[in-house]
Amino acid sequence: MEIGKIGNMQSFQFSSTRIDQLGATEYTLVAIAVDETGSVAGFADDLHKALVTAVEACKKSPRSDNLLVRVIKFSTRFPNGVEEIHGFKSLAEIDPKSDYPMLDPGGQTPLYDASFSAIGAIIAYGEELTKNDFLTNGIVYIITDGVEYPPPPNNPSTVTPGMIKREIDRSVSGELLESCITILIGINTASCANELSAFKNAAGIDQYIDVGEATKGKLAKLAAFVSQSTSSQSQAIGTGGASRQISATI
Amino acid sequence: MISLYTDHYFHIGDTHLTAGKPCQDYAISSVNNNAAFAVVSDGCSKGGHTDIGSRLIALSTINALYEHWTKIGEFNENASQKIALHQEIKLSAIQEILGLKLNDMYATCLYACITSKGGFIFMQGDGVIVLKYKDESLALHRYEWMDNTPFYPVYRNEALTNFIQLHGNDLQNLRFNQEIWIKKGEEDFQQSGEKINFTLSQGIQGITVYISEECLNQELEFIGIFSDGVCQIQDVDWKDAVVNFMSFKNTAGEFAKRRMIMGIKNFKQEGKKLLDDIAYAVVRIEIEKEVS
Repeated sequence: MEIGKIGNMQSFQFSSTRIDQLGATEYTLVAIAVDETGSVAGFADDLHKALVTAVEACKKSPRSDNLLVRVIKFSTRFPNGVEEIHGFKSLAEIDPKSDYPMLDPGGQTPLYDASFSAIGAIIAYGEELTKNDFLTNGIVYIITDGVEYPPPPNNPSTVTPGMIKREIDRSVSGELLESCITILIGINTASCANELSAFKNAAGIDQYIDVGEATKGKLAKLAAFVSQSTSSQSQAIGTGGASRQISATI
Repeated sequence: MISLYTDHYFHIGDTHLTAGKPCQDYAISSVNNNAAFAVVSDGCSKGGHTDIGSRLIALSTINALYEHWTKIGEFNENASQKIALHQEIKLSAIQEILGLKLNDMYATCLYACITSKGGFIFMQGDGVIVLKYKDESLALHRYEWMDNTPFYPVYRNEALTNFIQLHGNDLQNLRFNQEIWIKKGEEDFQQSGEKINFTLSQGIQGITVYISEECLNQELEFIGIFSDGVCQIQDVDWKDAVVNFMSFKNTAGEFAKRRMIMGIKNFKQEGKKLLDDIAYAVVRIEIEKEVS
């Protein structure tokens, strides 16, 4: 693995498989950012199970050899708000049951930094892959149960929604990847759906999906949504555009 | 110590794509027991099911190469004749089993077989052979038949007679030629000598380019074999196309496939179409310095 940076920002690093270790012709980069703040305590085990199930389902996909997955957690408990569980690596190297520790919720919500880390790392690594002749696209899932908290101007994140949007715009105008789909997923977010929707627009994120209440059934559907959407985006490589088969709801 | 790696790729040309025809070029490669094999076959567009023929030619050739290497253990001067015989035996059997006509098998055959002791590249038909060195210098050998009527290894009896008649009915006629171009570093290509003209007889027997052990040790990094589709990219000089497809950004796994996919994509974005199917296979030579 090697370490990359998002832009010139030392505080936003990510790890990834060395390019000289990659043998295929094309890859879909997948980033999953999971909220580990105090408020998810009530459903942390089910959220963890959803993560494990989603990645295990991706391992069974016919496209599994062409997926590189990065998983991060976010909370103000972590230095820089984000902790990388693992960087971009192939599914063959991931055993979700042993590699993903149970969630230990705590701290507040650096949602902007988490989004920037998830999206920016895909764009940065994707740019390198594209320069090295790999056909590359990406898909990002930011799973949260709340908005940036404390709210601005005393918020914990170092980046702004505008900076996230500029990063996304850069990837589009520079054709750094063939396409990148960004999805903000809200769980138990009935009380802040409007703010999350506003954040989604300000940050240039493609979709905001409200899962609804954090029940076992809904989180199981979340896992299925992640694996199906990942497969769809992976099948879209080479078409010149993003998958058009991402569901608008879970 | 020398390590060998291979990769290959083939892609349908726009003419066949829009006409609803399959890709009639095929390529295959592998490393087997420390020997590298790379094969390219280009089916005749006026033949029968030559998409199948080119595959059968390539697969029977690589199979014959495996067997020869396994049983004989070296590729000497007579190897190409023995390999051709094994290939013919396999093709005859397959043709009969599948009920194929002779014109389904009209396809060229170009292959490389390389070991740590060297090897050779053999061609019956047409195409381009490339030697690329670590200092980025290149030697390109292009082979063409007059009237774009190449020899196909399956020609026999009446088909062979017809082929000879098409080329003037004299085995000494000069109907097949080779041009060699050299590029050193950033300099432009320079043609090495005049075009060499071969007789019809020589073209039918096939052309061999030997690769010595010394050559392998003298910084030769890649051997590439191309179908003549590389010479038919709209508004692209064939030499520039070869340079493009041999400019590998990295060398793990499907390195040649990645380069050609991206190269074709970039050409298309510039409005430069593939006028013909294209195939290539590449052998990569890696020399590990021994630690004393």
